Amino acid sequence: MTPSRNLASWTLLCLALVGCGESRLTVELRDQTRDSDLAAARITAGKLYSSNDDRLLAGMEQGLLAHLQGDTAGSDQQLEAIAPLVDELRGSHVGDAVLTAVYNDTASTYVGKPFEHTQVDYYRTLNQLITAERADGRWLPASIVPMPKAAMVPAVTADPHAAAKYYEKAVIIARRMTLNQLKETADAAGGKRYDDDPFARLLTAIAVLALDPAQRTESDQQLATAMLTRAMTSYQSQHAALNAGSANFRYETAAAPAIASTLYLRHLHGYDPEFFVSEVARLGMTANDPRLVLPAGSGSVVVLNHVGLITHPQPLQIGIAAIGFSSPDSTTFNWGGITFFAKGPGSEVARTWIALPIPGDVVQKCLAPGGATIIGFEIPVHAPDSPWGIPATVTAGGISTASEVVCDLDAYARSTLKDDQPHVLLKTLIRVAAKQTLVALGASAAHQGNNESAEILSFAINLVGSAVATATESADLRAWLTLPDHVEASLIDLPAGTHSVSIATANGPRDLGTVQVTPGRLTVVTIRSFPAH
Amino acid sequence: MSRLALSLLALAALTTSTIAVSGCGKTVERVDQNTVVDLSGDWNDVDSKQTAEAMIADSLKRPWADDFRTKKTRNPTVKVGRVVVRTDGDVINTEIFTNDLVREFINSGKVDVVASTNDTDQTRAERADQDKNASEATRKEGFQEQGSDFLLTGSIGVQNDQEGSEKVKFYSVDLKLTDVQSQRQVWIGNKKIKKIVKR
Repeated sequence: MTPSRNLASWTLLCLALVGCGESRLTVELRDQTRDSDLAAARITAGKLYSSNDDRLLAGMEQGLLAHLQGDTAGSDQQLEAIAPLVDELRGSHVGDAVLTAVYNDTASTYVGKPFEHTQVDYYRTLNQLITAERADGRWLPASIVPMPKAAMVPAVTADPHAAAKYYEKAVIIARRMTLNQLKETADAAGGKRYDDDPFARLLTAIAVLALDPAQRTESDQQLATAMLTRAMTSYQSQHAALNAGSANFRYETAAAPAIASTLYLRHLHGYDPEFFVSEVARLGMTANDPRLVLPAGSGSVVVLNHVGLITHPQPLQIGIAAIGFSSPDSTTFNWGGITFFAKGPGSEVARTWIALPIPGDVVQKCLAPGGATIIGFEIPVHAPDSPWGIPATVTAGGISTASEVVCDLDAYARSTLKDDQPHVLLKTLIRVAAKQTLVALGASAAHQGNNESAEILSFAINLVGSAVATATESADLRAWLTLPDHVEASLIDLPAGTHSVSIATANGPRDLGTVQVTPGRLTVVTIRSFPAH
Repeated sequence: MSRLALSLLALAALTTSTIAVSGCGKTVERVDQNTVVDLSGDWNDVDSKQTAEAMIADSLKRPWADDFRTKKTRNPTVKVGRVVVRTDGDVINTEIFTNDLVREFINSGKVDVVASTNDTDQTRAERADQDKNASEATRKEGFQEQGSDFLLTGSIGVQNDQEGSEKVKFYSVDLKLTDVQSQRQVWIGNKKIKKIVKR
C-alpha cells in the first residue's frame, strides 16, 4: 500500500464518521414554539413530518400547536384524526420489523411512545374543557401562550347548552384516555416504568368536577372516585419507580401532590363519608382540616401551567475505524492502526480520536480482510437533565398560592428511552454486525485472486462497503417535540363570582384573564409558559 | 461465493426472527344475554345479576320484612340508595347493579320499591311541568309520594393482586338495610367474588 492510498483511506474514515447530528428543522420547531411563533412552527412541523411514516407525529405536533394558538376546533380536528391511529399503531407491523432489522430504526412508521399516546387524549380533553368554559363564560383567557406572536383566543358567544355538550365530551374523552388507553399501556408495559399516568387520572377527575354538580350522574361520581383513588396510588408507585436506582434524570413530581390528595378527600367527603374518615386517618390528616371541606358558596380554580419543552433524543455516534495490511512474507512486519470515535450527549469521556497502533496482520485477519474498514452506528440518547427553577405562583381573587409539579413528562421521556435502550442497542449491534460481516465476506472473496488488482478491489469493497453500511445506520430521533417539560398545578378556593387570575413565573407576571366561580365546581385555567432554563 | 450465500441466508434468518406476526381482522358475535363472558375479570353484567339475586334472596329470608308486614299489614317500602365503589381504579357501573337490586325486590312480590333519588328528581320535575301545562283532570298532585320505610345502601370493595401473568380480582359487596324512622339496621349482607385471570 502506498502512502497516498493510506492518506486517502484515513480521510474517508474521518469524513464518514462525522454525522449530521441534530436536524435543523427540529431545532427550528422547538425555537419557534419557545418564542410562541406558532404559525411558523406549524409550517416547520409540516416540513419536518411530510412522510407518511410520520403521520402520527404530524397530527400530534399540529394538534398541540393549534391548541396553543387557541384554535381548539382545529386542534381537535388534528388530534381526533390520529386518535384511532394510536390504537392501530400499537400493534406490531411485519413490514416495519423487516425494514428496521435490515436497514435502520428510522425505516418504520412512527408508532409513538405510551406517554405520548396519553397526551393525544389529554389535549383533546383540555380542548373540550376550554371550549365549554368559553361557551358559558367561566374562563375568559387573555391567551394560552405568551404574547406577542401567539394567536389571540377568539371571542365566543355565551351558549350554556353548547357548554354542557362540551363538558360532557371532555368527560367521555377523559374516560377513553384512562379506562382504555391507560389499560392498554399497563398491559403492554412489561416492566417498563411508564405503566400508568396519575396526572391523566387526576385530569379525568377534574373534568368530572368541572361539571355542574346538578348534572353529575352516579356514574360520573364513581368515575371521579376511581380516578382520584388510582391517581393517589399511582403517584406513589411512580415516585418510587422513577426515583429508584442511579437514574440520570430527576423526577420532579411529589409522591402525593397536595392538589390530588385535597380533591380526593373532598370528593370522598361527599361521595362516601364512611370511607372518608378512614382515608383521612390513613393519610395522617384530621377531618377538621380546612383544606378538606370547600367553604359553603365557594368554588375552586385549578390552574394548569405547562412549562418549557420536553427533552428530545439526540444521536450518540460511536465508531471504529481500522486500517492495516498483512506482510506479504513472514520476514517483514507492517503496522496498522485502530481508532475509536464517539460524538453526541454522553460522549464526553471520548470526545477526541483515540488511535492505537496494532499489527496490520491483526487488522486484516480480524476486522478488515480488504485492509480498511469503518464500523459505526448511532443510538438515540438524551442530553443531561438540568434543574428547573421553583414552580410559579398563581394569584386569583387576591389569594396567592405556589404551584406544584403534577406531571413530569420530561422524566417519562427519559425513562422510556432508558427502558428501551437495551433493546435498541442489541438490535443495532446485531444489524451492524450482520452488515459488516457481509462486507467483510465480500472483501475476503475479492481477495482470493491474490494479485494486485484483486487486492485493490478487496480494499475498495471493504472500505466503501463498510462506509456505506455505517452511513445507513441512523438513530431514530423521532419524538413529539413540542410537549412541555412538566405540568404545574395550583388549586385556589374562591367565593362565587368573577375573579381575575394571574401567574408569576421566573420571566415575570402574566395576566390569565378572568374566571366565573360557581359553588361546588372547578374552573380550569390552562396555560403554557417558557421560563428561562 | 458459497460463504457469501451462507451469510445472506443467515441475514435473512436473522431478519425473519425479528418479525412479529400481526393480528388479522375483527369479528363480532351476538350471544345470549345469559351467556357468561369473562374477558378481563372485571366486574360485569353477570356479576351484577348474580350478586343481586343472591343478596336480595338472602335479605328476604330474614325476619325484617315479615315482622314489618305483621305490624303494619302491608308490604314494606324500600328505596335503593347509593352503592359506592371502593376501588383502586376499577370503574363499575353501579346503576346496572342498583337496577338489578330493584328488579329482584319487585319480582319477589314481598316488597314495594320507590324510585331512587335520581329518578324522583325527574318525576318531580315532570310534576312541576304538569302544574304549568297539563289539564286539571290529568295533572298529578304534589305531596302524594309514598315514603320509604327502609333504605338500602352499600359498597363494592375491589382489590386486585397480580403476580407475573396471574391476576386475582376480588370483589366484596356489602349491603345494608336501615329502618328510615328508627335508624335501626335490620339486615346486613355480604357477597364475595374472586376471579383468577391468567394470561
